[in-house]
Amino acid sequence: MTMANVQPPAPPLPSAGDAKRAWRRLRLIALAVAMVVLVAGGAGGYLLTRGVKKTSYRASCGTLRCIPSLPVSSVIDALKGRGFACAEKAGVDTWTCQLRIGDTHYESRIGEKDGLIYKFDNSVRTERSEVADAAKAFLVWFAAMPFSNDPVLAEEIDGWLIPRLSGGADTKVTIGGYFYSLTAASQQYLRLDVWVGTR
Amino acid sequence: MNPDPTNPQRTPYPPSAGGPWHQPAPPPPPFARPARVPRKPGAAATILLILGAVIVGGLCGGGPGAVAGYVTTQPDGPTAPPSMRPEFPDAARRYLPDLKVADLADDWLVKPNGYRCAPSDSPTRISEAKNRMSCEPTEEGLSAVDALIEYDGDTQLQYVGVTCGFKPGANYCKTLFANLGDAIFPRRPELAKQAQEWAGKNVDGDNITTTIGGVRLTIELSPHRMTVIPDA
Repeated sequence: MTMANVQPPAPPLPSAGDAKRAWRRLRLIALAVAMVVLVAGGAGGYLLTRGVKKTSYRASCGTLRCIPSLPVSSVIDALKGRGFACAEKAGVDTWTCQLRIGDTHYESRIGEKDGLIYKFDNSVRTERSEVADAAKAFLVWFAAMPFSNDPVLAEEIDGWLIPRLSGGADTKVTIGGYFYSLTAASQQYLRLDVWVGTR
Repeated sequence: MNPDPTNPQRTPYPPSAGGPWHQPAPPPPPFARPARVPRKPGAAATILLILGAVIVGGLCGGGPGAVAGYVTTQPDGPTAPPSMRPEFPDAARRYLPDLKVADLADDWLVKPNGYRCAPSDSPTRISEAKNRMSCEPTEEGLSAVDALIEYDGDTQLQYVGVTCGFKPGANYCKTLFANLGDAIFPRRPELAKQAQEWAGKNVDGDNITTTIGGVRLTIELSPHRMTVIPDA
Protein backbone atom coordinates (compact mmCIF):
# COMPACT_ATOMS: atom_id res chain seq x y z
CA MET A 1 0.00 0.00 0.00
CA THR A 2 2.65 2.45 0.90
CA MET A 3 4.07 4.00 -2.15
CA ALA A 4 7.44 4.41 -0.59
CA ASN A 5 7.95 0.67 -0.52
CA VAL A 6 8.05 0.25 -4.22
CA GLN A 7 11.45 1.63 -4.64
CA PRO A 8 13.09 1.11 -1.27
CA PRO A 9 15.77 3.75 -1.45
CA ALA A 10 13.33 6.29 -2.96
CA PRO A 11 15.77 9.12 -2.79
CA PRO A 12 13.67 11.66 -4.70
CA LEU A 13 10.74 11.44 -2.28
CA PRO A 14 12.28 11.49 1.17
CA SER A 15 9.56 13.68 2.72
CA ALA A 16 6.44 11.65 1.93
CA GLY A 17 6.54 9.60 5.15
CA ASP A 18 7.73 12.52 7.21
CA ALA A 19 4.86 14.65 5.96
CA LYS A 20 2.29 12.06 6.90
CA ARG A 21 3.81 11.69 10.29
CA ALA A 22 3.92 15.42 10.69
CA TRP A 23 0.23 15.69 9.82
CA ARG A 24 -0.62 12.91 12.20
CA ARG A 25 1.40 14.56 14.90
CA LEU A 26 -0.32 17.86 14.25
CA ARG A 27 -3.73 16.20 14.42
CA LEU A 28 -2.80 14.61 17.71
CA ILE A 29 -1.56 17.90 19.08
CA ALA A 30 -4.74 19.63 17.93
CA LEU A 31 -6.84 16.93 19.58
CA ALA A 32 -4.86 17.24 22.78
CA VAL A 33 -5.23 21.01 22.67
CA ALA A 34 -8.96 20.63 22.08
CA MET A 35 -9.27 18.28 25.05
CA VAL A 36 -7.29 20.56 27.33
CA VAL A 37 -9.28 23.59 26.22
CA LEU A 38 -12.49 21.61 26.61
CA VAL A 39 -11.72 20.75 30.20
CA ALA A 40 -10.30 24.16 31.03
CA GLY A 41 -13.15 25.94 29.27
CA GLY A 42 -15.71 23.80 31.03
CA ALA A 43 -14.18 24.49 34.40
CA GLY A 44 -13.72 28.14 33.55
CA GLY A 45 -17.27 28.57 32.32
CA TYR A 46 -18.59 26.76 35.34
CA LEU A 47 -16.59 28.86 37.78
CA LEU A 48 -17.44 32.07 35.96
CA THR A 49 -21.22 31.67 35.98
CA ARG A 50 -21.05 30.15 39.43
CA GLY A 51 -19.19 33.22 40.67
CA VAL A 52 -21.65 35.55 38.98
CA LYS A 53 -24.60 33.66 40.42
CA LYS A 54 -23.07 33.41 43.88
CA THR A 55 -22.88 37.14 44.24
CA SER A 56 -26.34 37.86 42.87
CA TYR A 57 -29.06 38.65 45.36
CA ARG A 58 -31.81 36.55 43.92
CA ALA A 59 -32.09 32.78 43.81
CA SER A 60 -34.18 30.75 41.40
CA CYS A 61 -37.21 28.97 42.75
CA GLY A 62 -39.17 27.33 39.97
CA THR A 63 -40.26 30.01 37.52
CA LEU A 64 -39.82 32.70 40.16
CA ARG A 65 -37.02 34.36 42.01
CA CYS A 66 -36.62 34.12 45.74
CA ILE A 67 -34.51 35.48 48.56
CA PRO A 68 -31.56 33.07 48.50
CA SER A 69 -31.06 30.59 51.33
CA LEU A 70 -33.40 32.26 53.82
CA PRO A 71 -35.99 29.72 54.95
CA VAL A 72 -39.55 31.00 55.34
CA SER A 73 -39.69 29.10 58.61
CA SER A 74 -36.89 31.20 60.13
CA VAL A 75 -38.88 34.37 59.49
CA ILE A 76 -42.15 32.89 60.76
CA ASP A 77 -40.36 31.65 63.89
CA ALA A 78 -38.86 35.08 64.52
CA LEU A 79 -42.31 36.66 64.30
CA LYS A 80 -43.89 34.02 66.50
CA GLY A 81 -41.13 34.71 68.99
CA ARG A 82 -42.50 38.25 69.23
CA GLY A 83 -45.98 36.97 69.82
CA PHE A 84 -47.36 37.30 66.30
CA ALA A 85 -50.14 34.89 65.41
CA CYS A 86 -49.12 33.20 62.16
CA ALA A 87 -51.17 30.97 59.88
CA GLU A 88 -50.52 29.47 56.47
CA LYS A 89 -53.23 29.88 53.92
CA ALA A 90 -53.47 26.45 52.33
CA GLY A 91 -53.23 26.22 48.57
CA VAL A 92 -51.76 29.64 47.98
CA ASP A 93 -48.54 29.19 49.97
CA THR A 94 -48.98 32.44 51.80
CA TRP A 95 -48.28 33.01 55.46
CA THR A 96 -50.14 35.67 57.37
CA CYS A 97 -48.83 36.93 60.70
CA GLN A 98 -50.68 39.45 62.81
CA LEU A 99 -50.29 41.30 66.05
CA ARG A 100 -52.33 44.05 67.60
CA ILE A 101 -50.96 46.26 70.34
CA GLY A 102 -53.23 48.99 71.64
CA ASP A 103 -54.62 50.82 68.63
CA THR A 104 -51.99 49.54 66.21
CA HIS A 105 -52.38 46.52 63.99
CA TYR A 106 -49.33 44.87 62.42
CA GLU A 107 -49.76 42.43 59.59
CA SER A 108 -47.29 40.60 57.43
CA ARG A 109 -47.99 38.35 54.46
CA ILE A 110 -45.21 36.16 53.11
CA GLY A 111 -45.33 34.26 49.81
CA GLU A 112 -43.51 30.94 49.90
CA LYS A 113 -42.03 28.93 47.04
CA ASP A 114 -39.92 25.82 47.65
CA GLY A 115 -39.40 26.88 51.26
CA LEU A 116 -38.03 30.29 50.21
CA ILE A 117 -39.64 33.72 50.03
CA TYR A 118 -40.63 35.24 46.69
CA LYS A 119 -42.64 38.19 47.97
CA PHE A 120 -43.85 39.77 51.15
CA ASP A 121 -45.87 42.73 52.28
CA ASN A 122 -46.20 44.36 55.65
CA SER A 123 -48.69 46.85 56.88
CA VAL A 124 -49.18 48.97 59.98
CA ARG A 125 -52.65 50.35 60.66
CA THR A 126 -52.95 52.73 63.54
CA GLU A 127 -54.96 55.56 65.00
CA ARG A 128 -51.81 57.45 65.78
CA SER A 129 -50.86 60.51 63.84
CA GLU A 130 -47.12 59.94 63.92
CA VAL A 131 -45.00 56.95 62.94
CA ALA A 132 -44.21 55.00 66.09
CA ASP A 133 -40.74 53.55 66.67
CA ALA A 134 -42.27 50.09 66.74
CA ALA A 135 -43.81 50.59 63.30
CA LYS A 136 -40.47 51.83 62.02
CA ALA A 137 -38.63 48.84 63.49
CA PHE A 138 -41.22 46.49 62.01
CA LEU A 139 -40.99 47.82 58.46
CA VAL A 140 -37.22 48.30 58.49
CA TRP A 141 -36.70 44.73 59.63
CA PHE A 142 -38.64 43.39 56.68
CA ALA A 143 -37.14 45.79 54.19
CA ALA A 144 -33.58 44.72 55.05
CA MET A 145 -34.43 41.02 55.19
CA PRO A 146 -33.13 40.04 51.72
CA PHE A 147 -29.81 41.70 52.52
CA SER A 148 -29.21 40.80 56.12
CA ASN A 149 -25.82 39.36 55.14
CA ASP A 150 -24.88 42.54 53.27
CA PRO A 151 -24.56 45.49 55.65
CA VAL A 152 -23.92 47.98 52.85
CA LEU A 153 -27.12 47.21 51.00
CA ALA A 154 -29.08 46.86 54.22
CA GLU A 155 -28.00 50.37 55.12
CA GLU A 156 -29.01 51.60 51.70
CA ILE A 157 -32.49 50.17 52.28
CA ASP A 158 -32.75 51.89 55.66
CA GLY A 159 -31.67 55.14 54.09
CA TRP A 160 -34.34 54.83 51.45
CA LEU A 161 -37.14 53.71 53.73
CA ILE A 162 -36.92 55.59 57.00
CA PRO A 163 -37.32 59.16 55.71
CA ARG A 164 -40.15 58.08 53.42
CA LEU A 165 -42.24 56.54 56.19
CA SER A 166 -43.30 59.99 57.28
CA GLY A 167 -42.98 61.49 53.82
CA GLY A 168 -46.69 61.35 53.09
CA ALA A 169 -46.24 59.91 49.61
CA ASP A 170 -46.16 56.57 47.86
CA THR A 171 -42.80 55.59 46.38
CA LYS A 172 -41.21 52.77 44.46
CA VAL A 173 -37.59 51.72 44.04
CA THR A 174 -35.56 48.75 42.80
CA ILE A 175 -32.69 47.69 45.04
CA GLY A 176 -30.53 44.65 44.31
CA GLY A 177 -33.12 43.53 41.75
CA TYR A 178 -35.93 43.68 44.31
CA PHE A 179 -39.00 45.82 43.69
CA TYR A 180 -39.90 47.90 46.71
CA SER A 181 -43.17 49.74 46.89
CA LEU A 182 -44.11 51.88 49.87
CA THR A 183 -47.59 53.16 50.63
CA ALA A 184 -47.21 56.09 52.99
CA ALA A 185 -49.77 58.66 51.87
CA SER A 186 -51.33 58.38 55.32
CA GLN A 187 -49.33 57.80 58.50
CA GLN A 188 -52.22 55.69 59.71
CA TYR A 189 -51.77 53.11 57.00
CA LEU A 190 -48.20 52.27 56.09
CA ARG A 191 -47.53 49.40 53.78
CA LEU A 192 -44.36 47.99 52.25
CA ASP A 193 -44.55 45.54 49.34
CA VAL A 194 -41.44 43.66 48.25
CA TRP A 195 -41.44 41.49 45.16
CA VAL A 196 -38.39 39.47 44.19
CA GLY A 197 -39.50 39.12 40.58
CA THR A 198 -39.64 36.49 37.85
CA ARG A 199 -36.79 34.91 35.94
CA MET B 1 6.85 6.88 -20.71
CA ASN B 2 5.71 5.66 -17.42
CA PRO B 3 4.23 8.63 -15.72
CA ASP B 4 4.45 7.16 -12.32
CA PRO B 5 7.46 5.04 -11.66
CA THR B 6 6.30 4.27 -8.18
CA ASN B 7 3.23 2.45 -9.41
CA PRO B 8 3.88 -0.93 -10.89
CA GLN B 9 0.33 -1.23 -12.16
CA ARG B 10 0.90 1.59 -14.48
CA THR B 11 3.42 -0.49 -16.43
CA PRO B 12 1.47 -3.44 -17.81
CA TYR B 13 3.96 -3.93 -20.57
CA PRO B 14 7.59 -3.50 -20.83
CA PRO B 15 8.51 -0.46 -22.79
CA SER B 16 7.67 -0.98 -26.38
CA ALA B 17 10.78 -2.05 -28.16
CA GLY B 18 9.12 -2.71 -31.43
CA GLY B 19 7.53 -6.09 -31.13
CA PRO B 20 6.92 -8.34 -34.07
CA TRP B 21 3.66 -6.46 -34.80
CA HIS B 22 5.15 -3.06 -34.19
CA GLN B 23 2.57 -2.25 -31.68
CA PRO B 24 2.33 1.42 -30.86
CA ALA B 25 3.04 2.41 -27.36
CA PRO B 26 -0.14 2.49 -25.23
CA PRO B 27 -1.49 5.94 -24.45
CA PRO B 28 -0.89 7.18 -20.98
CA PRO B 29 -3.71 6.36 -18.61
CA PRO B 30 -6.25 9.16 -18.64
CA PHE B 31 -6.20 9.49 -14.89
CA ALA B 32 -2.57 9.91 -14.58
CA ARG B 33 -1.82 12.82 -12.32
CA PRO B 34 1.26 14.86 -12.09
CA ALA B 35 3.52 13.82 -9.33
CA ARG B 36 2.19 15.16 -6.04
CA VAL B 37 4.31 14.90 -2.98
CA PRO B 38 2.54 15.18 0.39
CA ARG B 39 3.92 18.16 2.14
CA LYS B 40 4.46 18.77 5.80
CA PRO B 41 1.85 21.03 7.40
CA GLY B 42 2.79 24.63 6.94
CA ALA B 43 2.67 27.35 9.58
CA ALA B 44 -0.75 28.57 8.40
CA ALA B 45 -2.24 25.10 8.56
CA THR B 46 -0.76 24.51 11.98
CA ILE B 47 -2.13 27.77 13.31
CA LEU B 48 -5.54 27.18 11.75
CA LEU B 49 -5.81 23.68 13.10
CA ILE B 50 -4.72 24.62 16.61
CA LEU B 51 -6.99 27.65 16.56
CA GLY B 52 -9.87 25.47 15.43
CA ALA B 53 -9.11 23.04 18.22
CA VAL B 54 -9.11 25.86 20.74
CA ILE B 55 -12.41 27.24 19.45
CA VAL B 56 -14.17 23.89 19.25
CA GLY B 57 -12.78 22.76 22.60
CA GLY B 58 -13.63 26.08 24.20
CA LEU B 59 -17.18 26.12 22.92
CA CYS B 60 -17.85 22.48 23.72
CA GLY B 61 -16.39 22.84 27.20
CA GLY B 62 -17.16 26.42 28.15
CA GLY B 63 -20.77 26.39 27.03
CA PRO B 64 -21.98 23.40 29.02
CA GLY B 65 -19.68 24.36 31.89
CA ALA B 66 -21.21 27.81 32.07
CA VAL B 67 -24.73 26.38 31.89
CA ALA B 68 -23.92 23.85 34.60
CA GLY B 69 -22.43 26.55 36.77
CA TYR B 70 -25.51 28.70 36.33
CA VAL B 71 -28.06 25.98 36.89
CA THR B 72 -26.48 24.25 39.86
CA THR B 73 -25.47 27.34 41.81
CA GLN B 74 -27.67 29.29 44.20
CA PRO B 75 -26.39 32.62 45.47
CA ASP B 76 -25.07 33.06 48.97
CA GLY B 77 -27.86 34.63 50.91
CA PRO B 78 -28.80 35.26 54.48
CA THR B 79 -29.46 32.15 56.53
CA ALA B 80 -31.34 33.99 59.23
CA PRO B 81 -33.48 37.12 59.26
CA PRO B 82 -31.87 40.31 60.56
CA SER B 83 -31.83 40.88 64.28
CA MET B 84 -34.82 42.81 65.55
CA ARG B 85 -34.53 46.21 67.12
CA PRO B 86 -35.72 46.36 70.72
CA GLU B 87 -38.69 48.50 69.62
CA PHE B 88 -39.91 45.76 67.27
CA PRO B 89 -43.56 45.01 68.09
CA ASP B 90 -43.81 42.46 70.85
CA ALA B 91 -46.91 40.82 72.22
CA ALA B 92 -45.42 41.28 75.68
CA ARG B 93 -46.32 44.95 75.30
CA ARG B 94 -49.92 44.13 74.43
CA TYR B 95 -51.02 44.59 78.05
CA LEU B 96 -50.92 47.61 80.35
CA PRO B 97 -47.73 47.14 82.36
CA ASP B 98 -47.97 46.09 85.98
CA LEU B 99 -51.70 46.59 86.30
CA LYS B 100 -54.46 44.26 87.55
CA VAL B 101 -58.18 44.41 86.98
CA ALA B 102 -58.64 44.62 90.76
CA ASP B 103 -56.35 47.67 90.96
CA LEU B 104 -58.98 49.61 89.04
CA ALA B 105 -62.26 47.87 89.82
CA ASP B 106 -61.88 47.13 93.52
CA ASP B 107 -59.27 49.57 94.76
CA TRP B 108 -60.46 52.59 92.84
CA LEU B 109 -64.03 52.32 91.53
CA VAL B 110 -65.88 49.99 93.89
CA LYS B 111 -64.48 50.47 97.37
CA PRO B 112 -63.76 54.20 97.61
CA ASN B 113 -66.31 55.41 95.04
CA GLY B 114 -69.22 53.01 95.32
CA TYR B 115 -69.30 51.90 91.70
CA ARG B 116 -70.89 48.64 90.69
CA CYS B 117 -68.86 46.46 88.33
CA ALA B 118 -70.10 43.51 86.31
CA PRO B 119 -68.85 41.46 83.37
CA SER B 120 -70.36 42.71 80.16
CA ASP B 121 -72.44 40.35 78.03
CA SER B 122 -71.90 42.44 74.95
CA PRO B 123 -69.55 40.85 72.38
CA THR B 124 -68.46 44.34 71.35
CA ARG B 125 -64.85 45.14 72.14
CA ILE B 126 -62.70 48.15 71.55
CA SER B 127 -59.57 45.99 71.86
CA GLU B 128 -59.07 42.31 71.06
CA ALA B 129 -59.45 41.25 74.69
CA LYS B 130 -61.55 38.26 75.66
CA ASN B 131 -63.34 39.86 78.59
CA ARG B 132 -64.98 43.17 79.30
CA MET B 133 -66.02 44.61 82.62
CA SER B 134 -68.42 47.50 82.89
CA CYS B 135 -68.56 49.72 85.98
CA GLU B 136 -71.19 52.34 86.80
CA PRO B 137 -71.62 54.70 89.73
CA THR B 138 -74.51 53.98 92.07
CA GLU B 139 -74.84 57.62 93.08
CA GLU B 140 -77.81 59.62 91.78
CA GLY B 141 -77.31 61.88 88.79
CA LEU B 142 -74.22 60.13 87.41
CA SER B 143 -75.89 58.05 84.70
CA ALA B 144 -73.67 59.72 82.10
CA VAL B 145 -70.59 58.17 83.70
CA ASP B 146 -69.20 54.69 83.14
CA ALA B 147 -65.94 52.83 83.04
CA LEU B 148 -64.93 49.94 80.77
CA ILE B 149 -62.10 47.53 81.36
CA GLU B 150 -61.11 45.03 78.65
CA TYR B 151 -58.77 42.22 79.60
CA ASP B 152 -57.70 38.65 78.90
CA GLY B 153 -56.65 37.66 82.41
CA ASP B 154 -56.51 39.52 85.72
CA THR B 155 -53.11 40.95 84.93
CA GLN B 156 -53.73 41.34 81.20
CA LEU B 157 -55.52 44.61 80.61
CA GLN B 158 -55.76 45.83 77.05
CA TYR B 159 -58.05 48.80 77.35
CA VAL B 160 -59.46 51.08 80.00
CA GLY B 161 -61.94 53.79 79.08
CA VAL B 162 -63.84 56.20 81.28
CA THR B 163 -66.73 58.17 79.82
CA CYS B 164 -67.89 61.33 81.54
CA GLY B 165 -70.93 62.73 79.79
CA PHE B 166 -70.82 66.14 81.39
CA LYS B 167 -70.11 69.29 79.49
CA PRO B 168 -66.54 70.60 79.47
CA GLY B 169 -65.69 72.40 82.64
CA ALA B 170 -67.45 69.92 84.88
CA ASN B 171 -65.45 69.25 88.00
CA TYR B 172 -66.56 65.65 88.20
CA CYS B 173 -64.82 64.80 84.93
CA LYS B 174 -61.63 66.52 86.02
CA THR B 175 -61.50 64.47 89.20
CA LEU B 176 -62.51 61.27 87.41
CA PHE B 177 -59.86 61.56 84.72
CA ALA B 178 -57.15 62.63 87.17
CA ASN B 179 -57.99 59.69 89.38
CA LEU B 180 -57.83 57.32 86.41
CA GLY B 181 -54.35 58.65 85.65
CA ASP B 182 -53.39 57.94 89.23
CA ALA B 183 -55.03 54.51 89.35
CA ILE B 184 -53.27 53.00 86.34
CA PHE B 185 -49.87 53.20 88.08
CA PRO B 186 -50.66 51.70 91.50
CA ARG B 187 -47.05 50.65 92.12
CA ARG B 188 -45.24 53.53 90.42
CA PRO B 189 -46.07 56.75 92.26
CA GLU B 190 -43.85 58.92 90.05
CA LEU B 191 -45.72 57.91 86.92
CA ALA B 192 -49.04 58.06 88.77
CA LYS B 193 -48.42 61.68 89.67
CA GLN B 194 -47.41 62.50 86.12
CA ALA B 195 -50.50 60.87 84.63
CA GLN B 196 -52.78 62.44 87.21
CA GLU B 197 -51.46 65.90 86.45
CA TRP B 198 -51.69 65.42 82.70
CA ALA B 199 -55.30 64.19 82.88
CA GLY B 200 -56.37 67.00 85.20
CA LYS B 201 -54.82 69.59 82.95
CA ASN B 202 -56.18 68.20 79.68
CA VAL B 203 -59.57 67.10 80.91
CA ASP B 204 -61.39 69.13 78.28
CA GLY B 205 -58.92 68.57 75.47
CA ASP B 206 -60.10 67.12 72.20
CA ASN B 207 -58.11 64.19 70.94
CA ILE B 208 -55.05 64.95 73.04
CA THR B 209 -52.57 62.16 73.56
CA THR B 210 -49.51 61.46 75.62
CA THR B 211 -47.37 58.46 76.43
CA ILE B 212 -46.32 57.81 80.01
CA GLY B 213 -44.47 54.71 81.14
CA GLY B 214 -45.36 52.70 78.03
CA VAL B 215 -49.00 53.67 78.36
CA ARG B 216 -50.90 55.81 75.93
CA LEU B 217 -53.43 58.23 77.41
CA THR B 218 -55.97 59.97 75.21
CA ILE B 219 -58.72 62.44 76.01
CA GLU B 220 -61.45 63.24 73.50
CA LEU B 221 -64.62 65.29 73.66
CA SER B 222 -67.24 63.50 71.63
CA PRO B 223 -67.99 61.53 73.63
CA HIS B 224 -66.12 63.03 76.54
CA ARG B 225 -63.83 60.16 77.37
CA MET B 226 -60.37 59.25 78.57
CA THR B 227 -58.80 56.03 77.28
CA VAL B 228 -55.75 54.10 78.37
CA ILE B 229 -54.06 51.57 76.06
CA PRO B 230 -50.57 50.09 75.78
CA ASP B 231 -48.22 52.15 73.65
CA ALA B 232 -47.60 50.28 70.39
